[in-house]
Amino acid sequence: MSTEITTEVIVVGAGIAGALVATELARAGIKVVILEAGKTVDRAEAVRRFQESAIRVPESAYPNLPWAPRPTVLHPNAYYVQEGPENFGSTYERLVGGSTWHWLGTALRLVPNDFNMRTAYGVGEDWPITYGDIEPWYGRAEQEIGVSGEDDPALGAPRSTPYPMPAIPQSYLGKKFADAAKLIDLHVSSTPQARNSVNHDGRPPCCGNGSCIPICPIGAKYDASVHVAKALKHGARLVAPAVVNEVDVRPGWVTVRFLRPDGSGGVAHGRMLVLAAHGIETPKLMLMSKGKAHPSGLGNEHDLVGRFLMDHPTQLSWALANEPVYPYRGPLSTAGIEMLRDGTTRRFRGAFRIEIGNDGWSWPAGDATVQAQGAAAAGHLGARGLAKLRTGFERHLRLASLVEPLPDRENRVTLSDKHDALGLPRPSISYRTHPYATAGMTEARRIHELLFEAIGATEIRHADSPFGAGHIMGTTRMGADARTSVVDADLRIHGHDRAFVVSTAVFPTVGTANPTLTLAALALRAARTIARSL
Amino acid sequence: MEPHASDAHTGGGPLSRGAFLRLSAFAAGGLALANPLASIAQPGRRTELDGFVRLSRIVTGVEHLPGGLAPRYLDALNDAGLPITPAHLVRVAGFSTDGAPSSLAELEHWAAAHHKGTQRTLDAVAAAWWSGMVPIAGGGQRVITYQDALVWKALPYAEPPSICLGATTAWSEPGRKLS
Repeated sequence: MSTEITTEVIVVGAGIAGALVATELARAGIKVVILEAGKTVDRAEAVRRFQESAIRVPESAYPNLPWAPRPTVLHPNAYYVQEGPENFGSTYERLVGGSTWHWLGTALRLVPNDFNMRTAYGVGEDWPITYGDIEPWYGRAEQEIGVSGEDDPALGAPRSTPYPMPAIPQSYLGKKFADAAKLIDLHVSSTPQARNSVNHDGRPPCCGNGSCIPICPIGAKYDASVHVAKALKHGARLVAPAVVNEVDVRPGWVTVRFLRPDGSGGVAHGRMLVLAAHGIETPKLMLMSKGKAHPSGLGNEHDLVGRFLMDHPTQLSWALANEPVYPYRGPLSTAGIEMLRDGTTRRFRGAFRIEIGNDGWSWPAGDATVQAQGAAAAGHLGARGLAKLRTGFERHLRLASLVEPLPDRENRVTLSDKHDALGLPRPSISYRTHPYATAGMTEARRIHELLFEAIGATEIRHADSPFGAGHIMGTTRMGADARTSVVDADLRIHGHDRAFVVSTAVFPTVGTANPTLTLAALALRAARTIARSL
Repeated sequence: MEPHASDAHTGGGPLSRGAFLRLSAFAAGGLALANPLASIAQPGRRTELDGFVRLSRIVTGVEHLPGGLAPRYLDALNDAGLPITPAHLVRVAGFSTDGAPSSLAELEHWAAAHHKGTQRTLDAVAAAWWSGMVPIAGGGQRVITYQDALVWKALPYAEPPSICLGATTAWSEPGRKLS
């Protein structure tokens, strides 16, 4: 049976961007409908699913919905159609609450020079906004989602407001790294994170469940279901599951068509459209939407939609400490080295931040259960085998550097001629790691080596190729010039006053910060613009 | 709980006289293992389970195994496509009688003298109890338990991921020392 909806603002996507925009607009008394491809998440069910998964990866707490498939770490090619030359390994969720269900919770700001790379270092692009423009919105975002942190100059991002909560305590091993880092003139910072250190906004403080990725069992880590609930409380309407398959933007109205899991259809009419479906689904939908006013795809007059796909290529390294440091407990990361995120070396190589992992060797070697299987397969049985596991576990160290890439026009999302269960095109991905990022990874590896040596570690190992960080960005870039960008500084699609993109897809460059806090700040800022435009 | 030191002879060192005598007896009685499908008297289910638990204690190093899981592990491992099933191993190694190896060293010496798949089955039994998972014939794994996987005993200062550790500072201090 067909559904027909009429509202003021249609939001496509119920992740953090869509949920924040919807909440802000609903608070202002504006009629909002959120269309979300996935389902609502039952937290207890997600925890059970995680525990019962044989391989525990970021997606393992959530079902792969036949009508809204998504890539997974284990099977990225089951949805992505990889065109090479490298496989794109970062994933996302299609759920009410989006990928914040499985995010780590790191809530760093970009640093001022991240917004003017072209001017400062002669590479990349300048954003059409400055750090000064977004700084107040960072503060609001930290309040909205609840960030625990401490003001530390090494974070490189001046602030006008305090963090809403005190910092999450650093792990014991993080403190060990902090002591070691001083020996080589590096500084370990407490990581700002959207994780409660005290009761906040009706949610409890973190109790160290150690499963932030993929699921916080108690809701201490922020996820966007918080703001979906707030939006609904203020009168917004959520329609889920509803897979949007076409948008049509005209001078006076917008029309959005969607499909239900059974293939039946629906249509929503509104005055304003907000596309907030992350960095793959958003450009895919724009390319699928070839209406009369945008025959080459929404916002695609200059063949830019889907281009400049970026992630943070990640250099992973691990080693064995010379004494117990007690990993495998607490939030998966509570500290990092942030002082390497800016500097003149950005003229020729990517900057990076170093994340200190509290999760032992879970990333490179699998979680403790997988490592136990490996020990048994190697013949280390009995009490001595178990003791060997323990003496290894308590010494496991892991570092991961998130490296800055440059935007590359040939890294892109297009529409595949292969289709999903609803008959919609799967995303086709072309991706390669630019030498600028590779050079940053080489330097990151060198610093990892120094850190491991400073802490007295042995058995130092480095991954030979970059891992994905799960940060999908750049595919509908922001800019002042409609010929070189898809959206303007207000996130409005060039040439379409009634359509906005609120997504990490709008980042023209990406710096080194995990992108979610910047997205939240942009969403709050865009909501104000949208409200004023109605 | 600490791992139980039930494998006094895990290395390649000299065996005790008693262990040597037991091994000699197994070597004589275990010739049938040259053909793992050789006819062996079928014990009852209870006896088979008791034998599997005895075998499991040795290969896992844990004396007090979580209650109620042995039948599930045994059945799943029997279906896992191993060259020698645990049920068969229990029978031929004497775990359903009183003549079985009593230490890991004895068991591994015995296994080395017999069918090459025997060690693989021992490894699989340990892997299953430690990880809480059993391979599925043809691919994939079956989760038998999460919280009762024995590997968590090797992380006595932590909790299995998804289980609350404690106060918001609990991860900031050193963990309990290895005793």
